[in-house]
Order: sequence, then C-alpha cells, then structure tokens
Amino acid sequence: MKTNELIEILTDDATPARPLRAPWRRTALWFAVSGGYAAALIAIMSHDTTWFTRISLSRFWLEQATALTTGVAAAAAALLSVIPGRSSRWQIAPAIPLALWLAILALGCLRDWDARGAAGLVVGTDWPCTMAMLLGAFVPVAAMMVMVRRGAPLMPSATAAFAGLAGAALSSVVACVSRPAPHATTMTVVVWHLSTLLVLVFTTVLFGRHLLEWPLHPRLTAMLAKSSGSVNGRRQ
Amino acid sequence: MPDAESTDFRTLMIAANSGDREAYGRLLHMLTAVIRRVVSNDRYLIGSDAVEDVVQDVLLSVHAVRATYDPDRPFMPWLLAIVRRRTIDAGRRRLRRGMRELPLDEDAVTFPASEANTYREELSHTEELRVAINRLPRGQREAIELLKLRQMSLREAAAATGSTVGALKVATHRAMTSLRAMLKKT
Repeated sequence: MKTNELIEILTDDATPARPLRAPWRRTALWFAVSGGYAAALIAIMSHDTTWFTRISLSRFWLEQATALTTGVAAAAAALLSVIPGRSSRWQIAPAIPLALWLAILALGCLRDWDARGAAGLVVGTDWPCTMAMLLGAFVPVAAMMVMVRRGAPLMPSATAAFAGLAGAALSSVVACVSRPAPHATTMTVVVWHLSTLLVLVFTTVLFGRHLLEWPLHPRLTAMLAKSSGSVNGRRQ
Repeated sequence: MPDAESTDFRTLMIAANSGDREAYGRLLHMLTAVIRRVVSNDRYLIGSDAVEDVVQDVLLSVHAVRATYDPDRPFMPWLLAIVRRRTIDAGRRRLRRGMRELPLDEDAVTFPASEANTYREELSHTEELRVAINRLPRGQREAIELLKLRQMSLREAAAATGSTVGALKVATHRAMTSLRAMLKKT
C-alpha cells in the first residue's frame, strides 16, 4: 500500500477523539476504584475489630503509608508511561517510597533481632497473607491494565511492571490491615509480602505486556485489510 | 524544527481531534515528510528498504493514540516519542529476523553429479512438455496445471476442482510418472 493511500484511509476513519484526562486525574480515578475495593476487602476479611488499636503503632502505620504511596506513585508512573513525550524522570518516582518502605521493613527486622535475638528473624509461613494479597491485587491490576490500554504502549514491560507494583503495594496494605499478625516477625512479613509482590509484578509483566498493543480500531483494521489484502507488507 | 511549523501541527492536531477530517489529512501529509526524515536517520538500524514501512507504522500509531495528545503541551515531543518507539520496534523485528534467517549465496553447483547441475540451463523441451501434458488423462492434466503451472496449494486446487487433497496428490504422482516416461521416449 502506498503511504498516500494509507493517509486517505486514516483520514476517512478520523472520528472526533476525546483527549485522555490528565494522568493525575486518571491516577485519582484508579485510586478511588482500587481504594474502594481495598476498603471493602478489609471490612470483609478483618477477623477482629481491634485494628484501630494499632493506630498507636506508628511504625505499622508508617509502613502502610509508604506501601500506599508506592502504589499510588507506581500507578501514576504506569499512566504517564503511556503518554508520548513525557519526561522519563517520573519513572524513578515509585522508587523513593519503595526504598522507604523497604527501609522501614529492614529496620523492623533489626528491632526484632535486637529484642528477641535469632528468634526474631525466624520466618514463619503465611499463606493466608499471600492469598489476601493476590485477592487484593486483582481489581487494582485489572483496572490499571484497562486504563493503560487506552494509551500508547511505548514501553509495555515497564508499564506492566508499574501496574503490577501499584496493585501489589495496595494489596499489601489490605493484607496487613485486615490480617493482624502481632506474633509474626517482621522477617515473615518481608519474605511473604515481598515474594508475593515480586510474583505479582512478574506475572503482570509476563501477561500484561501482551495486552499492550497499539490500539487499532477493528473498523480501521477492516478498512486496511479491504484496501490491501493485509495490514502487513506495505510498500510505497 | 521551526516553531511556526510545530504550532501548525498543534493547531491541525487539535482540529483533527475535534473531527475535522480535512485538517487531519493535511496534518498527516505534513507529518509524513518529517517522519520520513527522522526515520531515515536510523536506516542503519531498520534497513534502508524498511524506511517506508516504519513511516506507515508511525502514521498508524499516531492515528491509534491521537487521543493521548494533550493540546496544552508541545506537539513535537509527542510525535518524536512515537517515532522513536516504532523505529526501535522495527529494529528489533529486523534483529530477530536476522537471527532466524541465514543468508545463503547462490551456489554454482548443487550436487556432485554433473547431470544434477542444471544451473541456468534454459528450458529447451517446452513444446514436448506441453504436448505430453495434453496427452495426460483429464484428472492428471488438471492436477499438473493447477499445482505445478499455476502454483496453487493443494487446498486451493482441491477447492477449484471439487476433488480432495488426497486424490490430487495421487493424480499428481501418476502424472509425473507418465510425463517422465513420455519425455524419456522423446
């Protein structure tokens, strides 16, 4: 197909295109949907009603705050990554709260070790926590994938990784708040939460990047196929 | 890139996104030259013969994600990010293809036996071959014409004749045996 013929087809297909909302607005929308889902899960899964007593545990809430900030920053990074022409500096934004989150967890491990010796570093099993995280990440990751598919897949793997991180960080908050485990060592939280987080990010990259394609409308694809027999193999 | 041109692009893009097809057509024609110039700079990456393919890929991509353009932001960074991505995609495709395919030089000799080396040998018995094909039974003749002369696939030939793939294979095999025997006699 000649380039001029392609331009004619594209011009014929040109319908009004409503510009995407600003990335920060879309991030807020994602957070409203995902936050509502997380709050509902916490309400359903909480076995006790004493969670509010942990408000005094500043480290616990600082940990949740940094996890939440990591999730929001990763969501913003994912949504910005599908807008052409944006600076790539925002890609490091999720790294800052993530580093802070990891530092708080590391500090918790040191405190456990200081208080309980080697017993403070014992890693227990915590499958329910993993299940809570997987459940908690489902809607946030799915919502994010739907939203980023409306943009340009400039770097599909990075976008999918940010989407996975956003959902996983939010689900970590769901798991921690809904399932209090006062006797668990911080090391248990580190191993189980971070392992699940890595699995979620890896899985999202593995499958999510294939969902991120240049979004050609079926009507246009049909017009191109009709015109040249195939979209591929174009030549001027 | 002159500022005036960039402003033109922006104005046309805003008009195009609101449904002005004439503005969109003008914009795409103007962009094509710019895209071609940028893509040509990377022809070492994508191959000279693929420049126009990448230009068309970029035009399709611009069309697909035109809703991501923010009218409050400059146009060229938006366009160049798409051009860069599509060029990298084309470069990767070329690299993958290069890893799968091995270019081979044309061999002057195919097999050690001299009878097998018919390199650039002109066909000199076309008339005898045509006569021999005409002497074949109808089914075998049809099989040879469709599969060997018109280069149809077995499935296409089966659809054209109303026969089955298996029957066509048998007819072709018999036809080739008959042709070999007939041409040997001549």
